[in-house]
Amino acid sequence: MASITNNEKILQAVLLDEKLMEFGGYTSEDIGNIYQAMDSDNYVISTVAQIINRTSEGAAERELWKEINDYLKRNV
Amino acid sequence: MRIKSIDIKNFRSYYGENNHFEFSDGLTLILGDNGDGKTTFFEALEWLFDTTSERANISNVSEMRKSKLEIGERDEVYVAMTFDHDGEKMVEKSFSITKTGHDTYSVSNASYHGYETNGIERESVDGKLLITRCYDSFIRRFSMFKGESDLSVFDNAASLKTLVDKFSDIHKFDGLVANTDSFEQKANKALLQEMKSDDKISKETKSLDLQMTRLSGEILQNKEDIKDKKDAIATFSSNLNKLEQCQETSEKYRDVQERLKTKTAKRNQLMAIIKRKDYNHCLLDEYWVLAPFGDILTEFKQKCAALSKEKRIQEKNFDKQQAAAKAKLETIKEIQGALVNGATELPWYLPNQETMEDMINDHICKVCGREAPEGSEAYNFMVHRLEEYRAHIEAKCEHDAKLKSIDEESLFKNDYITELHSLSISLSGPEESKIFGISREINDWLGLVALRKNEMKEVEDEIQDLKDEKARILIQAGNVSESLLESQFNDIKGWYEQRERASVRLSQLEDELKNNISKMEELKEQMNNLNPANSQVKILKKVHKVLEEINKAFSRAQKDNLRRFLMELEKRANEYLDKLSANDFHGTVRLIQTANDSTEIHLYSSNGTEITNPSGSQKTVMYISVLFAISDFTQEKRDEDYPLFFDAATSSFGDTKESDFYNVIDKIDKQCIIVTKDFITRGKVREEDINKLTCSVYRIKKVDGFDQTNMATIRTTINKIK
Amino acid sequence: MESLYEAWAKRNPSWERRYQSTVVDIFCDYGKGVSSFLEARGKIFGAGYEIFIIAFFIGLYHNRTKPLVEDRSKKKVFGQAIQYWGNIENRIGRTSYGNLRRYIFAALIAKTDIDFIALDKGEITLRAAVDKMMEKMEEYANYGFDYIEDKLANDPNYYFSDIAFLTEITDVLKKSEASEENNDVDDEVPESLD
Repeated sequence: MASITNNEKILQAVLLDEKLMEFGGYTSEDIGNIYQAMDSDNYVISTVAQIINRTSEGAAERELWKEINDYLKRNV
Repeated sequence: MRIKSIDIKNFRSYYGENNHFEFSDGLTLILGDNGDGKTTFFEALEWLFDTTSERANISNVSEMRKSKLEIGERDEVYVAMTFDHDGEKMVEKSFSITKTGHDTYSVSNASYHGYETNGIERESVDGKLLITRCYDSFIRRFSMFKGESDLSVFDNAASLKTLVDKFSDIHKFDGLVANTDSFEQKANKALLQEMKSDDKISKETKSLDLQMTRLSGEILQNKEDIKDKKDAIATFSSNLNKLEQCQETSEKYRDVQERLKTKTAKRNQLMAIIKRKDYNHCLLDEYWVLAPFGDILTEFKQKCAALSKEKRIQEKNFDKQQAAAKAKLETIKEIQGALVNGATELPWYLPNQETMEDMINDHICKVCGREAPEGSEAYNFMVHRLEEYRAHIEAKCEHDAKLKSIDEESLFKNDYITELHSLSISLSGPEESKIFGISREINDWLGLVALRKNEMKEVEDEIQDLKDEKARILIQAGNVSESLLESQFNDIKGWYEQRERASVRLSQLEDELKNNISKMEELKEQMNNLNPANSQVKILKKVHKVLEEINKAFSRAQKDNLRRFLMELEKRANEYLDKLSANDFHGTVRLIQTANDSTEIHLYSSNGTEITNPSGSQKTVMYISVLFAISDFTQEKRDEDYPLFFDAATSSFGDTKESDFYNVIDKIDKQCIIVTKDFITRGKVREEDINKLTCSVYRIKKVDGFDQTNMATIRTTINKIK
Repeated sequence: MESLYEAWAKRNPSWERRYQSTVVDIFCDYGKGVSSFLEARGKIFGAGYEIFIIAFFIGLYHNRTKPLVEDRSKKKVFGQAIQYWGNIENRIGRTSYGNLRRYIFAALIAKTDIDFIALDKGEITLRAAVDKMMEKMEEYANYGFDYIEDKLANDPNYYFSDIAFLTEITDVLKKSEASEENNDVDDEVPESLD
C-alpha cells in the first residue's frame, strides 16, 4: 500500500519535498532515520523530525510550540 | 466475517420456522420474482443489524401467522444469524406476539442477544454490542446494498470522503498539518508583535498589518462567494446536462407515470365495487337470508288456504246443523201444536185470552150469549179451553226461545285464520316473486364481483409491469432524480437564465479575488522590506519563514498521500473491472478528487473519453469493482473481511452475460450474497442457465393459491436448487 | 282485539347464556350502547338479535331444532322485543328490514303444530298458541347457535371471511337443487331433535 503508516515514512514524505529541500539546503543523504534527523545540524531537518516525533508521542500543541520556537530561535 | 446461516421465523412473508439459508464462502444466489420475498429477506437482515432500535414492531409479524393464532395463543418472531468472526458467533433479534382478541395483538419479550465462543466455551453477549463490534454501521454502508439505486452511495461525495478518510492514513497527517498551521500563525503573530515594538518600523508595521487584516477578510469572503457561485452553477449545469441527455427518457418516464395513474385509478374503482356490499349485512338488510325461503312460503300459504277451507267447511256444516235443528223445532212445534188439545189452532174468530177470562169470570159466553155458570158444561168447556190456550202460548214461547238460541250459537269465536289468510295474500304476488328472485340476485352480484376481481388482478399485473418499466427507465437514466424527469421545459429555461447570471457574477468575483490577492502580495512585499533596527525581529522573521515552508511541505505531503491512496484504489478497482467485464466492455474507472476535498467515480472508455451516461449494467459493474477494491482494503486494514450483499431488484443485464458475471464473482475470494430476478422467465427458473453456474442457488417463491387482497394468505417458501 | 301477529311480536325469545361468549359476543355489539363506537368497530353484526336471526334461519333451513335447557338461570333474552327487530335507525351503512319479521312469523306458522281451528273456536288460548310458536323459534335458533359454535371450535376464523355466513344460506339452495335434480321424492316428515 502506498499510504504511509509510520513516522519514518511521514518523515521521508515531508523532507523529500523538492521545495523544502531547496529552501533548507540539504539533500536526501542528509536525512537518515528519525532519530538521526532530530539530531541533525540542519535546522529544517531537525524541526520536521521533532514535530513528527513529538506529535506521535502525544505532546500537546502548546508544549511542542514552545520547544520548536525556542529551538529555532537559537539555531536559525 | 463470514456468514454461515440465516434463520427467519414469522417475519412478514416468512411464515413459520423452516426458513433457513446456508451460505458458502463464495457466491450464494437467491432467486425470486416480484413480490416473492426478496426485499423482505433484505429487510429482515437490516432489522437484525439495526442497533438503534430494539422495540418490537407488530408490522413485522407474518399476517398468515397472525390469522392462524387462536385468542390467547402466543408465538415468536425472530431473525437469527450464525457467523464466523474470530471464532464462531451467533446473533438473534426476537420478540413474542400474543393474540388478545379477534383482531388485536400484543407484543412483548423484545430481545437482542448473541453468543460467541471463547476457546471452547460459549458466552452469552448483548446483541447490540456484538454487532457494533463485528459488523458496525460504517462497514455495513459498503457491505449491504438494497436495489441498484443504493449503489449510488458512491455518487454521494461525502460518503466516499468518509471512506477515504477511514482507510487512508490521511488523518495522521491531519494532526501534523494542524500543528504546523498553528506554529506558522504563532510565529507570525510573535513577529508582528516584535515589529510593532521596534521604533523604526512600528508605525508602518501597524498600518500594513491593519490593511492586510482587512484584505484577508475580503479575500475570505471572495472565496466563499466564489465557492457558492460555483456550486450553484454546477447544480444548474448538472441538471441541464442530465435533462438534455435524457429528454427522451423524461418523455418516456412521464408517459409511464400517466399510464400508472390511470391504471391505479381503475384499480381503485374496481376495489370500490368489489368491497361495496357487505355480505353479512345484505343477509338482513337486503333479505338475502330469504333466498331459500320459497318452499317455506309455499308451505305457509298452503296451510293458510287449508285452514280457511277447513273453517269454511266447518262453518257450513255448522250452519247446516243449525238449520236442521231449527227445522226440527218447527216440526216439533207443529206436532206439539196438534197434541195439545187434539185440535188445530184456535180459529181466528175465537176470543182472546183476556176475553176468555172475562167470560169465565162473568160466567157468560160472550160469543153466543148463553150463560155459563160455574160447573156447567159451557163453563168447564171455556176453562179447559183457556188452559189449553195458556199451554199453547207457553209452548210457543219456549219454542221461539229455542229458535233464538240456535240462531245465536256460533262455532267460531275468533278470526285468526282470516288474519293468517290476509297475511298469506299480502305475501303473494310481487312479494312472492321477489323471494324467488333473491337467489338469482345473489348469484348475479357474486358473479359480478368475480369478474371484477379478475379484472383487478389483470390491472394489478399491468401496474406491476409499469412499475418495473419505471424502475428500468430510472436506472437507465442514471443518477437523475424522479423529480428531474418530471420537470417541464419551462423550468429548464429558468435554469439557463440563472446559470448565465451566476456565471457573470462568478467572473466578477474571480477578478475581485485576483486583485485582492495581488494587493495582498504587494503588502506582504512591503512588510518584508521593512528594515528593522532590532535584530530580534530579524530572528523571528527567519523563524517564521522556516515554519511557513515546513507547513507547506506537510500540506503537500498530505495531499500526495491521498492521491496515492486513490491511485491504488483505482488500480485495484480496474483489476476487478477487467475480470467482471469479460468479453464486451473495456474501460477504466477513475477516481477524481473534486474541489471540496471529496472524490467522484467516473467511467472512461478505452480510448480515453469519459462515458458520461453509463448504462445500468455498466454502472453496476463499475460500482461492484470499486466495492471489491474497498473490500480489499478493509481486509488489509482491519485484517478482516466482510460479506457483500446486493439486492438487485431489477435485472439490468442482458441474458447472455448473467452466468459469466456470476461465475467470475464466485471465483473471487469474497463472500457475496446476491438476491436477484435473474434466471427467472415468466415465473419459472431457467434450468439450463442455472446449470452453468458454479455457485449455490436458492429459489424463494410465494406459495401458490394466495389471494392478493388478503395478506394472510401470503407466504414465502425457500428451496435450495443448487 | 289483539291480532295473532301482535301477540307474537311483543314477545322476546329466550336463548342459552352459554352461547354469549362463544357466539353472540363474537359477532355482535350485544350489550353495548350506541356510543361505544370504538369497541363496536370490527364486529360483523350490530344488535344481538341479528345473530339470533341468522341462527334461527340456519335451524329453519336445515329443519332441525334443539330444545333449550329447563333451568331459567341459564337463559337470557335480548333487550328488544321482536316488534323492534330490524328498525335500524342509528347505524351507518345499514338499512331497516322490519318486513323480515313477517316472514319469520309466516315460517313459524307453517312449522308449528297448532290447532288453529281450535284456536278460532276458543278451545285453546291465544297465549298458548304464541307460546308454542316461541318455543319453535327458540329451538330453531338454539340449533343454529350450536351449529355455529361447533364450526368455530374447529376453525375459529371460519365465519370471519366475508362470505362465510352467506355461504351457509346458499348451500341450502344448492342442496335443494341437487335433491330436485336427483328426483328425490322424499315424503318423510323431517325430524326435529325433541
